[in-house]
Amino acid sequence: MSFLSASGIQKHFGAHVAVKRFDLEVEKGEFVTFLGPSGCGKTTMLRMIAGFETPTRGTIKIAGKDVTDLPPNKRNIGMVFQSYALFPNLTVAGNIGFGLRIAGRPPQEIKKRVGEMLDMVKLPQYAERYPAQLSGGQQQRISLARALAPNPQILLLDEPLSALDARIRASLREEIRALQLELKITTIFVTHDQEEALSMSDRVVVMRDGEVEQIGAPKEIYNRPRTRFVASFVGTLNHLRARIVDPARGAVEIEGYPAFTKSPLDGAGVGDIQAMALRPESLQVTNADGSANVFKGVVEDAAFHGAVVRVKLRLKDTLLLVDVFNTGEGAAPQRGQTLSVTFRAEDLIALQGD
Amino acid sequence: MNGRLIASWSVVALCGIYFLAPLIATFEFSLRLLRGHYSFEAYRLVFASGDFQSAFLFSAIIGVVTIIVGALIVTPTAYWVQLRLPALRGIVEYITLLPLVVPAIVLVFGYIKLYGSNSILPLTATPFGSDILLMLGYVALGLPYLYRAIDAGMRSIDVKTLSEAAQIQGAGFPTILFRIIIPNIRSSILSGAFLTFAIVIGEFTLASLLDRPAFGPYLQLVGASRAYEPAALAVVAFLITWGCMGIIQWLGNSGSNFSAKR
Amino acid sequence: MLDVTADPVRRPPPARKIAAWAGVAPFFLFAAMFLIVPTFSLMVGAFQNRDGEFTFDNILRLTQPSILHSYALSLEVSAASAFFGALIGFALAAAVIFGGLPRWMRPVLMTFSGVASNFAGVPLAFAFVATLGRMGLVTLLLRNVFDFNLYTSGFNLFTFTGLTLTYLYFQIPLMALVIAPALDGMKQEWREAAEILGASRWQYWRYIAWPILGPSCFGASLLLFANAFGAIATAYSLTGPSLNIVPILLFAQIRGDVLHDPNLGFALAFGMLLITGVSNFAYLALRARSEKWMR
Repeated sequence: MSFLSASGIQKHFGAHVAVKRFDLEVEKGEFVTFLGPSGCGKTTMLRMIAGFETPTRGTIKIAGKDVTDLPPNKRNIGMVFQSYALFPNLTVAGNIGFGLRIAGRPPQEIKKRVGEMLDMVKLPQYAERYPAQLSGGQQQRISLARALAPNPQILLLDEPLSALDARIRASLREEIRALQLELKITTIFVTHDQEEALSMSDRVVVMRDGEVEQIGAPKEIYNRPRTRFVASFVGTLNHLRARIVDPARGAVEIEGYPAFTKSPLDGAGVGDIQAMALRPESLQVTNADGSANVFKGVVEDAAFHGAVVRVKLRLKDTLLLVDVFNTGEGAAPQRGQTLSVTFRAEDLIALQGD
Repeated sequence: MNGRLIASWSVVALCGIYFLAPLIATFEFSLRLLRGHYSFEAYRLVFASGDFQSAFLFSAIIGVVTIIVGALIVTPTAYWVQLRLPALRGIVEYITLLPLVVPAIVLVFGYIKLYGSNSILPLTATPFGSDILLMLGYVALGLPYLYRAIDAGMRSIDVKTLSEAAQIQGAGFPTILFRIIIPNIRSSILSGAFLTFAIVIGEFTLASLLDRPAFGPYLQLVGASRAYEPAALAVVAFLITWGCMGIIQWLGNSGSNFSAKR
Repeated sequence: MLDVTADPVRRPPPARKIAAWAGVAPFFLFAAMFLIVPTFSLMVGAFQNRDGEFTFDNILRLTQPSILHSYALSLEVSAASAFFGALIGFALAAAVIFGGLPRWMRPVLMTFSGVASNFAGVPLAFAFVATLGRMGLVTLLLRNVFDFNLYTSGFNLFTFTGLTLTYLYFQIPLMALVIAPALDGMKQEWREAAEILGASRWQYWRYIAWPILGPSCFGASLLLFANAFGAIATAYSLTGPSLNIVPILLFAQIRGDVLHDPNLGFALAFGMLLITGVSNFAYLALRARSEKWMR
């Protein structure tokens, strides 16, 4: 049985529908991320799990118990807010120990636990400081320590890294994931940053306009996106229009070039136009010519991105993005150069939806 | 949830009654001059009275002069502190707080002592000297508000950059001040001006102790001798104050004309 | 012409700084002549006798029963109007900001507070006479509609109670204006963070909200206190010289209505300034402290 389950969740704010339909089962110890653009309903959903909003319809269960109508202060959940929300009038120790103090734990126990938490987030000397004296990254770590101190059954994080600058974001990301794995705590993470989602999660829930587009492990979401939205939201993508030649064999034609795909084309008729996608890194430079799954075009631009050279290849109607590894040997593609690229059938993805 | 709403509405309703009652009562009282029916007779008497006209005119003129003198003192100060002398900001702001700490009556007492008939600068000895002293006292009273308004206005238009841009074009300080700075902080100056005007019109302590025929002492005199005219005057005073504040709000909302936000 | 052989370290030409100092000179001259020196001269005068010699005499004479009574009265009126003004003003601001009321109420309240806090002095006294005076609207209403005679039940507008009630008209809005920024600074996330950590509404107030707001509230009360202590126009118009608060006493001294003793007047002014100065200073200190927190 799953540890956290949300079934048939709907949320209306007056006339505005924030969440149209949400169903999810989360196993104990799992790290699940709600990923999507602003307004997709991910934060609203998180807040319903926390108890700050009540679903218009549907139920939320934690460890088998129905908590839908339970107030937040009775759910034993830890939460990290985007703006840290540390209490400015309490010291770091006061903040971290707050939950335990409310629960009436003895002072000795609180002190010990606070020390443990500070060690855990690697800020052992900061107990007597005030939040105003800390940097953004430090505040967020204290915020995490505060959320975890009372040993909650679930940890919620609402875009905790958005307010931090890029370098701190990257290191904190790893710290959070490492901590979560060590504590084996069920975690829900909300973000609009697909890099965070892919690198941290066991599973990703991609959301749009109050609905779930796809749920799956990061690799699956990335390599086998089910809809055009998911494909373009997660990673960069080349959008292609293909004409179906033989659905049973997966044969299509793209800009006059023959291609094969391993993606199922059920339901499509011969001659139909099918939306398809290719990741830039799945295209390889090749000398082959005339075979299937080969495109030939003219290099319009080649930008050096360090590990990768991002090439813009002009086909007849399409501008293809190709990521060429910078192996150090051989010259990088030049503007005006004619180039042939190839790909595997498994990498040509058929997309549904708009 | 509901309990909170009930409490909020109750507080607002009770306060509303407390604040509106005197306004309604004053207005109603002012209409009672002629027995038996309501009329605006009290207002007619007030506006027709020569004392009213001269007192109001006196205060209005003093008010305008106060605003001009105040602006002339404050504007360059705010400008130079922001541009060249940022170290002085602390002490300047401290000084602008003084009028809020020192009660008006103490201030005017100081004036009488320092500029009285037996002193080096016997301003109080002549009516004109007293008028000057009164006006300068009003500049002092309005200083906190005037300075804050103009300083905020200058900060919002990034005075430093504008000045440098003008200097590169060859402009000297007076040109910069009058043609570039002031037009851009027009609404701040006006806000400060209307606030100063509201203060001057109703002011009693300074005017009374310096023995000048201003609007404040006039009001008090009428209150001591007449029954219904004071109420009419109170309504007029309230409308003037409300009018000034309303204009300030409107200026604040329409924002300054060109605010250079990068 | 640029001298290219000059030292590499060049300071801005002195002329520019001089212009700046010249520009701010009028301000400092004005402040000195019409703010600082007059006040200072009063303070000095408080410690001088008629011949200019240093003495504590004037200060000691402040302990006369009649003067002490004045100070006591002033302190009472100021404290009462500050206390109730702070309480009600806080409730009003909290209701409008947090109370779930329609959004448009807040700007209306703030504008009205801006006007009302300036509507003191003579017109305010008139307004209250028209409301609660013997022939005032509310007095008549109570008599005719509720059969309740306000004045026979002991109330009198021209007493301590009446003055305090009148003072509230500008104290309450002043409190609302001053405390609104502090209330705005109370982030909603703090409440939610406290809640998710297990705190009840009351616990949140006790451990988080009140400790944060408390200093601001107290500081604002001090501001209200100082404001009331220094106010004279309203009192003079309302109760005239009959209610002997300190400003009225001082007023009489300055006007020469009583035995003209300027040095005693200076001492009175000194006492007033001491009280308002300390209160205002404390208010500013508390405000600076809580602003540091609210980063």
